Amino acid sequence: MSAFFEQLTFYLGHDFVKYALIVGVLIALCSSLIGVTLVLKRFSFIGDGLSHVAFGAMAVAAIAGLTNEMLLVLPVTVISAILLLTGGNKRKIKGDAAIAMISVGALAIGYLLMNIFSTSSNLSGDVCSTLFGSTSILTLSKFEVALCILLSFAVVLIFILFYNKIFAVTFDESFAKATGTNVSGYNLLIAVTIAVIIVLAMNLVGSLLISALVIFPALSAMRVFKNFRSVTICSAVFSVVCAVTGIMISILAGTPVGSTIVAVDIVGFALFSAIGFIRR
Amino acid sequence: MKKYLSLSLILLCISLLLCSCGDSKAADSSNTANASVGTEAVTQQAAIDIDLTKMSSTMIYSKVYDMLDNPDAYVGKTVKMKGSFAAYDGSEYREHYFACVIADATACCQQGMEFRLKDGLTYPDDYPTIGKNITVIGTFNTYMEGEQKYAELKDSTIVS
Repeated sequence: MSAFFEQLTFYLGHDFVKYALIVGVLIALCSSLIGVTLVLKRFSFIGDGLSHVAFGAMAVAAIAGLTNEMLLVLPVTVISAILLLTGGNKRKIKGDAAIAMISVGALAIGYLLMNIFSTSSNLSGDVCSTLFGSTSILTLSKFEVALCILLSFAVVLIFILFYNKIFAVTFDESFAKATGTNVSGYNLLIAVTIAVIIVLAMNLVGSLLISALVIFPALSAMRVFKNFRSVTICSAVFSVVCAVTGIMISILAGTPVGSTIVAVDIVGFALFSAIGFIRR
Repeated sequence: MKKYLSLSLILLCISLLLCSCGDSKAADSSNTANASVGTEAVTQQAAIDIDLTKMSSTMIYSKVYDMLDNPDAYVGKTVKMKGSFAAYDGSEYREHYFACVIADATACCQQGMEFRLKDGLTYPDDYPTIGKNITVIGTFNTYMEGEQKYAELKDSTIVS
C-alpha cells in the first residue's frame, strides 16, 4: 500500500499531472452543471454533435497551419450550437435529425480534409488522440491550462448569475416567455456555454466520449435526487469525483484517460441506480 | 442555490491552489532513489534522474512528450527508458538515426526518443534488430541540425 501511495505522490509531482487534474476538475464541473439542463431539455446528444463539429474545425485549423487552433474551433462550435439550439420549431430540419446531420457531416469532412491535406507525420495518431483523448489532457501547455481556467470560471459564473432563468427556460419555455423572460436570449446563452464546454472537454475525453461527461453525472444524480437544485449539486460532485478518479486510475494503471473516466462514470451510474432503487 | 454554488466555487479555488503546490524536481529525485540496480550498468543506474521504466504507459508517453516539448528543462539529466528499437536512414548530417519508441495506452500514438550510443560501435553489427524491446540509459541533450532543434540521449548504452 505504501508503494502505491509512493508512486501516486511521485506522479503528482509532475507539472503535467497537476495541469491535468486542474483542467479535469474544471471541465467535469462545467459539463455536469450544463448537463442537467441538456438532459432535461432532451438535448443529451448535442455534446456528441458539437464535438464532431469541433473535430472538423480542428482539422481545418491544422491544415491552415494555425498555431492556436482554438481561434477557429471555438467560434465554429459556438455558431453550430446556436444553429442547433435556437430557432425552435421554425427550422425545416429539426431536433435529433439536425444534430445527427451536423455530427456525421463534420466528422467525415474533418477526417477527409486531414487525409487529403495532411501536414502531420502521424495522422492516425493525431486522429485517434483527438477522438478518444488518449493522453491529450496530460500534454497541455500552460496557455491551454490558463485558457481552460478562464473559460471554466466564466461558465460557472454564468450558471450562478443566471441560475433562476436557466431553471425557468429548462422546465417550461412557454411559461418563461409568458412571464417576460427573454427565452431566445437565454437559449443563446446556453448554446454558447455548451459550445465552450465541448471545446474544453475535447482535451479531457476526446470528441467521441464527450457526451458521457454531460449525460452520466446528470442521470446518476436524477436516480437519487428529485429536485433541480439537489440534482445539480449532486451531478457536479459526481462528475468531479469520477474525473479525478479516472485520471488517477489512468496514470497509475496506464490506461487511456478518456475511456477510463467514462468507465468510472458508468460504474458511478450503476451505483447511484442501485441506491435509487433501494430508496424507492 | 447561489450560496451553495458560491461555496463550491470557493472550494474549487482552494483545491486548485493545493493542486498547484509541489515540486516536480523533488519527485524526479525521489525516483532516483528507487532506481533498480541492474547487473550491467550499476554506476550509471545509481545516477539516473528520470527512470521511465518505472512509470505506467500513460505516464511514460506524457513524460516523453513533456521532455520533447520542454527540452531545456531536462538537458544533462540521465534518463533510462524502455521501448522498441528503431533505426532511420541518415541525412546530410549523419548516416543513421536510432530511437527508442514508446506507444501510448491506446497504442495509436507513439513517442520516439532518439539516442546515440557511445563511439566505437557500428550499425547494424553492434545494434539490436529493429523492433526489439530495449532498455537505454543516456544523458538528455539537445542539438541543432540546420535551423531545427532536436533532442537525444547522448553517450547512451543499451543495458538490455
